[in-house]
Amino acid sequence: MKRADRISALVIIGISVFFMAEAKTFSPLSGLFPRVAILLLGGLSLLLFILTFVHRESGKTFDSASFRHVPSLISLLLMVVWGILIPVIGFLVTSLIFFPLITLYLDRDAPGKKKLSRIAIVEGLAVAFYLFFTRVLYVPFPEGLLL
Amino acid sequence: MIVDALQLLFTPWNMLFVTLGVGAGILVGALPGLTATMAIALLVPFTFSMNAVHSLVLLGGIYSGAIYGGSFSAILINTPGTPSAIATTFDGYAMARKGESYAAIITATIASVIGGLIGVLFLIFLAPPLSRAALKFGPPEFFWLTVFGLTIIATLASKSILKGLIGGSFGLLLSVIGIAPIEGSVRYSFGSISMQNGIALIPAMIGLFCLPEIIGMIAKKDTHYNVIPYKKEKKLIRRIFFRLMKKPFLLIRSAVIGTVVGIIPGAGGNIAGMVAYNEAVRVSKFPERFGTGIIDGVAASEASNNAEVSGSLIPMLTLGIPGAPPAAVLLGALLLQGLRPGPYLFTSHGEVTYSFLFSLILANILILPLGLISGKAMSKLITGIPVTILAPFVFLLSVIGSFAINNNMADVYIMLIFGIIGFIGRKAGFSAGPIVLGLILGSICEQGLVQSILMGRAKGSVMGVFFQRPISILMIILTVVSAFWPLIVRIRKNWRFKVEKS
Repeated sequence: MKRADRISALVIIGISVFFMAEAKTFSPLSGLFPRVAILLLGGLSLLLFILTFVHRESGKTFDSASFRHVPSLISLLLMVVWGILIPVIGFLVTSLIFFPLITLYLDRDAPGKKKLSRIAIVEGLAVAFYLFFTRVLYVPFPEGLLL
Repeated sequence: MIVDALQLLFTPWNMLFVTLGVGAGILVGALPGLTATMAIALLVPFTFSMNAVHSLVLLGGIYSGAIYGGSFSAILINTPGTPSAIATTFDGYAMARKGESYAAIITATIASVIGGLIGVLFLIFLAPPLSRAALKFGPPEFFWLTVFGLTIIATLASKSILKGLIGGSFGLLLSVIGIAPIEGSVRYSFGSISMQNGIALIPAMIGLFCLPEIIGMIAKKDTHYNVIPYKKEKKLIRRIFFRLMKKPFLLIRSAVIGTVVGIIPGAGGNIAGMVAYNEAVRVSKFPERFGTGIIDGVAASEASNNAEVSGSLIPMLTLGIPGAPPAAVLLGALLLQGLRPGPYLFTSHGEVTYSFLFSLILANILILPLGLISGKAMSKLITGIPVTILAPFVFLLSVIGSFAINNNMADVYIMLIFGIIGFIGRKAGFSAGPIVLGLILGSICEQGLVQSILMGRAKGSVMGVFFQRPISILMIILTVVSAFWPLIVRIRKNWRFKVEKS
């Protein structure tokens, strides 16, 4: 984890420098607390960075024990696209597309019948939640171009 | 008056409304993002036409049920259903990972009932003096209270205190985004109007806790179907009940902390749960076992956050100052019914007021059967659903929960961004707890700091404002003790070891 700590520390120091530069425009009282938080964050990250040189390098970048990177990253990507497309094509349509898409992707090795039943379940869940929130709780979900 | 109040309460309609309220509250609380405040706010318009007792009994039931219901998703999917359940995730989810999800829910249920009842007793018998004490909390006291709260990071940072402190500072920095509380400068909004409101806690919390968990579900090689194995055990309720009964100090201490934190306006169930958890760790003979899935952690958090419900009602009923956001909405319902908070509420409207207070006792008792039945069903359901459906379904709930707070897509984006931060942070060894704690306490801390400086300037002594007020001095002592407690424990252990060796 030493390498990960070093990278994390450098990234956070970069964030601290950026936020400190932005804080120059704040009035004295508005800028007081942000500066204290930045100094704390930057100082502690610097300490983390220094400590990575005190012990020997383990060679491991991130904690990746029993972790399937590809499916998790593809699923994360699908979820992010799902979220981004909601205002464009509507909450219901995106849910009807992406919910089964992720299920299908994760279930890609399952037999065809199982896939079909699962698609029916997830489509039903998406519609049920949509109706509950829009008709019962009056939450106005984004409708977008389609619905 | 008490007899009249009891007669007024024990009618079939009121019984039905309390039961409905608790049941609906549990359901809302269990869904990530849907809070007690939202549930009460949604139901207030439906109570216009009801009489005062029906209305208050229903809303009180929802409040109690929702705060308890937050423990379900905290335990089952590592996502606090309401912010009050943040501390429940630490041991509750760890228990679920060991196949003890129902045991964790039983613990949460019993602790919630006991904590809730202790809180109501405080509300009934000690409301006036406690609310007077709450009024003595000025900006310096709030500042020191938050500094004390930040020392909890040492407990929340499971692997590395340094990384916990970095996470906490990062949370503090994020809390300053938006319009400054004093002078009104717009900070770090980068031209976005949505960012001027700051970072909303609930979407950030859902993102930090929930998204990494979803990715974790998908990424595990050995868990293609069942995420959490569910162990069936006989006489589990009785066993956990007796185990908890052997820990009366843990329950009472947590409930008292919850009530006291609830009384202080601005400090909600989230802070109550975390402070109680921290104290449970500190007092425990085996602090190293916290976070690995023990009932003490779940009981401390849940007893505290349910006691906080009554605590938040103390200043609301006696002074008209709500102790927490759901209490603020309840205050609105109270005013709609023509009931004005203050001392006269307990005299001129005594029957209605005491009926409401007694209904909270009933609501807390009802949590027991309703919680145990629905908890068992939820445990079986969640652990039985294949990951391939559960993971995207939890994401769907996260999107709905984030959006429904303000009906704003910006909150969904915040959830996604924080989810990615949480995912990367978890891989690099940073826990979500300290970041959320910093985010919660940051704005209260800043307001306390800046207002205290202004007070000090007006009085001619800034230092005097910070260091000469009795409650501030008490808070400083607590902060110092809390901050150095791990060191004290280590010294004590070394000393004992040396004595035994010699």
